[in-house]
Amino acid sequence: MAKRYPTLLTDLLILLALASVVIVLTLKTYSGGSGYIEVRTHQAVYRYALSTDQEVSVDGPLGKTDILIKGGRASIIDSACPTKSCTEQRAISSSGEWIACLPNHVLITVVGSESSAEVDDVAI
Amino acid sequence: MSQSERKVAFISAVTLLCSTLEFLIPKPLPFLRLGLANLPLLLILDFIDLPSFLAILLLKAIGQGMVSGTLFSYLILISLAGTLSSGLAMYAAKRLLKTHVSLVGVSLIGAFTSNLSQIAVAALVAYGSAIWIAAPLMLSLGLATSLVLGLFAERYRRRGTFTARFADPSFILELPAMTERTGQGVATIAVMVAIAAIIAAEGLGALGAIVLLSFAMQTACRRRVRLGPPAALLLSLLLLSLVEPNGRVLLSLGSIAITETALLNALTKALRLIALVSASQALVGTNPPLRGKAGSILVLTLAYFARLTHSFRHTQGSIIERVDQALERATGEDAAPTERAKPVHTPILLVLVTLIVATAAISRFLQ
Repeated sequence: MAKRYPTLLTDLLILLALASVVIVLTLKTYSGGSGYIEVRTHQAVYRYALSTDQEVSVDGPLGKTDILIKGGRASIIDSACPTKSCTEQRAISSSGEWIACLPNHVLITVVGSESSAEVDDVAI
Repeated sequence: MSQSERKVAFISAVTLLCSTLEFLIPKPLPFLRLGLANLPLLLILDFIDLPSFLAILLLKAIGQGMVSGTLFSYLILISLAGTLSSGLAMYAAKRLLKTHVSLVGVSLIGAFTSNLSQIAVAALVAYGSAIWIAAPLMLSLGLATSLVLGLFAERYRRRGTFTARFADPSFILELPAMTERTGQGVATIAVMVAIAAIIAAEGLGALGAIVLLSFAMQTACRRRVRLGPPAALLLSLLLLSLVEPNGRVLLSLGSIAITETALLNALTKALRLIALVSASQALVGTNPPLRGKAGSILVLTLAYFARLTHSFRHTQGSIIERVDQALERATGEDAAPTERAKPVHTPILLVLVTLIVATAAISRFLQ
C-alpha cells in the first residue's frame, strides 16, 4: 500500500486538516447566531437582526418609539410617552430578555440569541 | 508570439474549454461545481514556471469573463479571487511538499482555498456577511468534488500522453486563425454610460424597468439573454434576506419571517446586480479594444478557445476521447473556418442607453 501510494500519508493529512476546518466552521456557523429582536406594537410586528447596527423607529398610539441596535444589544432611546422612563432600561441582548414602553404599547423581546451576556447579568 | 507565450495562451484556452464542459455535465444539484477548469492547472504544475503560471491564472479568469460576458461586473472579482488564491496555494503546496504530495492533496488545497476566498469576496461585493451561512455546505461539497477531480488528475498524469509531450520543449504549437475583432467605439462608450446610470438609479420600479432595458441592450449587442443565472441570483438574495430580519413582519413561520425592509433591500440589490451583469454582457459584445502584450495574449487565448470548441463539437466518443482529439487537432495547422459574429445594432443600442439614463435620472429626482 505504502509503496504503491507513497503520497498517501500527506494526502490523508491534508484531507483531515481541511475537513476539521470545515467542521469547526460548521459548528461556529450554526451554534446560535446573534438572534433578533421582535418588536410588537398595537398594529404590527417587526423583526430586526441584532447583528446589524442601526436605529429604527416604530409607531405606537402616542407616536414614535426609537430603538437603537448596537453591538448586539437593543435599547429604547426615545419614545413619545410622558415619563420617558423606558429609555432608562438596560439594553437587552440575550434570548427572552425584554424591555417595553407601556404607554406607547411597544414591547421588545430578544429571540434566539445565545449571548454570553446572560452570565454577566446574573453577576450584576 | 514565442512558443512559450503560445503555450500559456493554449493552456488558458484549455481551462476555458473545461469550464464550458462543466456546463454540459449533468449534476444532481444545480450549485454543485466540479471545478473541471482546475484540471489543466493541476497537470501543468510539474513543469510550469511561476510567471507563466500566474499569466495562465489571469488569462483563465479574464477569458472566462469574456466568454461568459461577466468581465465588467462584480462577478469577475469573485472569480479572480478564487482563481488567483487557489492557483498560488496549489503552486506553493506542490513546490513545498514536492513528491510527498499527489495531485489529490493539491486539488483539495486548491478547491478549499478557492471556495473560501470566493465566499469572502462574495460577502464583500454582493451578498453581505449572511452568505457565510452557506460556507459549510459549499466547503464540504468542494472537498468531495476536488477529491474526485484530484484522483482523476493523478490517473491522467500517470496514463495520459498529451501532457508529457506538451511539456517537451521541442513540442511545436501552431498559431490558430484569428477572428477579426472590429471594435465599435461608440457602442462601447454608450454601454459604459448605461453602467454608470444603473449604479446611480434608485427605487424598485426604476430598477425593474432598467433590468428589462438592459436585457434589450444585451440583445442589441448580440449576446443571448439567459434567465437562469439572474433568477438564481434573485432567489439566493431573497433567501439570504430571511437570515437577517429587518422591518415589519409580512409573513412569519416560527423563527423565519419575511420582513419588509429586508425584502425591499434584497430586491433592489438583486435587480441592480442583474442589470449590471447584463450590461457587462453588452459591453463584452461591443468588442472593447484589447491592446498591448497582455491584450494580444488574451486575443490568442480566445482564438485557441474558439478552435478547441470547434474541434470538440466535431469529435465523437466519450468526453475524455473527445477532449483528447480536440487537443490534438487544435495544436496543429488550422483549417477550421472561423465564425464571424453579427455586428452590434448601434442605433437601437443608443436609444436603449438613452432610456436607461432617463429612467435613472427620473428615479433619482423622485426619491
